Amino acid sequence: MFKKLTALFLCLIMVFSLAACQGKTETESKSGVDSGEQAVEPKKEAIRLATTTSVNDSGLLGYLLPYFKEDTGYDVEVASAGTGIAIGYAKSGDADVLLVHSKAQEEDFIAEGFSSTERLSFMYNFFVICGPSDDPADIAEAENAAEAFRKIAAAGSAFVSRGDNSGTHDKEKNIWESAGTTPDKTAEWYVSVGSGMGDTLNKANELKAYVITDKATYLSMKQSLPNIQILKADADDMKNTYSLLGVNPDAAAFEGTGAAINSDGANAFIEWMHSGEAVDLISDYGISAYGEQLFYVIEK
Amino acid sequence: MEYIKQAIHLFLSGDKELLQIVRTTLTMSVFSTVISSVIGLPIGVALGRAEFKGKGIILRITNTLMGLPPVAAGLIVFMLFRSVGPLGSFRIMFSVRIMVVAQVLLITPVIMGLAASASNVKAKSLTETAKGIGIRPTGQIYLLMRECAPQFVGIMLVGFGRSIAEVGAVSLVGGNIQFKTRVMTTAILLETNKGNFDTAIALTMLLLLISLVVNTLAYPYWRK
Repeated sequence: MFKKLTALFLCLIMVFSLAACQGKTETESKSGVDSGEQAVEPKKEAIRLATTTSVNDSGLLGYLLPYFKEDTGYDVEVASAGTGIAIGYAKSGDADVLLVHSKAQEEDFIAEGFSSTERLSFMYNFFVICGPSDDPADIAEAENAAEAFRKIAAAGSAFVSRGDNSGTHDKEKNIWESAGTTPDKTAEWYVSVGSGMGDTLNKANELKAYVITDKATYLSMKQSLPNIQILKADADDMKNTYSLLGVNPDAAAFEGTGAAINSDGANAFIEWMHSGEAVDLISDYGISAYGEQLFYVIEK
Repeated sequence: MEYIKQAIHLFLSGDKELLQIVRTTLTMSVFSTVISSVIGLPIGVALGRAEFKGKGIILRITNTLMGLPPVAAGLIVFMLFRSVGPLGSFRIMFSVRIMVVAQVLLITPVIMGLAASASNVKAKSLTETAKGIGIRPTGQIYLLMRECAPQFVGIMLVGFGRSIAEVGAVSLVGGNIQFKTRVMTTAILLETNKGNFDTAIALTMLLLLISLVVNTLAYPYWRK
């Protein structure tokens, strides 16, 4: 009985999969005819944008890209990772345009001839320091981020670091430098997780630890982070500047390789991001979702 | 070739962080393989020789668990042991211990399933002989395990291989924390994410070398 049922079941699966195949070829041929008739304008090649998790996780790109597509017809494929790997993608010929935030790494990238544009500081937002609500290191009273970091180190309170060469990690390292202390990475309290912003926040929440994050990502995840809250914000050393960089199709490293950079697309994207429409959209972003402006465009 | 040279150079440089990564990797893999074997081998052998109703179902469940996706095991352990989870009071989140727990969950079914099929073949003849001279079932399991010892080495190597190669579960529960819970696989992933492809490849070569050494050491016992 059981065997018969199994056999019947297998037969049914085969029949269905055959039917599915047929249906598919039909629709395929149909759509083939359609596109043949409509193909007045050649399809624009998708733009490969490599960017940081903070821009993507905060939802900014998901909000902007449909408008960009409507205006220019370009699809954008977003690879969202830390600034380190985003630049790595671009150097491998796997990205056309970069939206990143680490001055030092951007300058290296330009010096190596990989960029088709200058370093265009495009917009900024703010970092915040989050931590457990009882604030064991008393950083809410600190004057700026550097002092807050000094207090955390002195108290030996748990601190979670991105540790992934991302722009946020670079910012953290800069703040440690201006604080005049180098954290001992083997110490119990310093937790370097080597991970994206969202994951790092989750771990800080789990460990009830301090963490530095861009405000946008924190706000977008606030609901799932009951153990931590913003303790320090709006200090002058917590500004986070993003740049747009086009990838140079004639970079020496691409010579003799199969790398094909979509420069037209990249330029269209950079131009559109500076347009009045995009600037308005970016300034409005966050107000509807979180009740406050998150990103500020730097007027050229 | 250049990368292999770099891997050896990296290893010999005695970098403190690399030594920690290798040590943690080996500690985790060895402990989880040993614990899984202690649990899985006897149960697997018992399962292989016994004939009872419902054995088929148990074997099928075991075989399904052999294909348990590592991230699924990681997620289960994570949900159990996170600070608001039912076992949160153990406070072992993001430690090598919890990585071993997740690995044991992953490897034990593999070891059990393989031990069951390895012992099944030899069980019949041995059981008859043992019954004839009046050996009890527990003694029979012991004899069968001795008989299967060479296969067990191979089975443990499979478990070790799965353990050392694992990345999803250990990064979920271990957290890939520098100087604490970072292992070779998660370090490779991280170096790739940093854009340091050279270091990532060197680490990969080193991981393969370690696997080769372990397999070479075990080889004579396996072929016996």
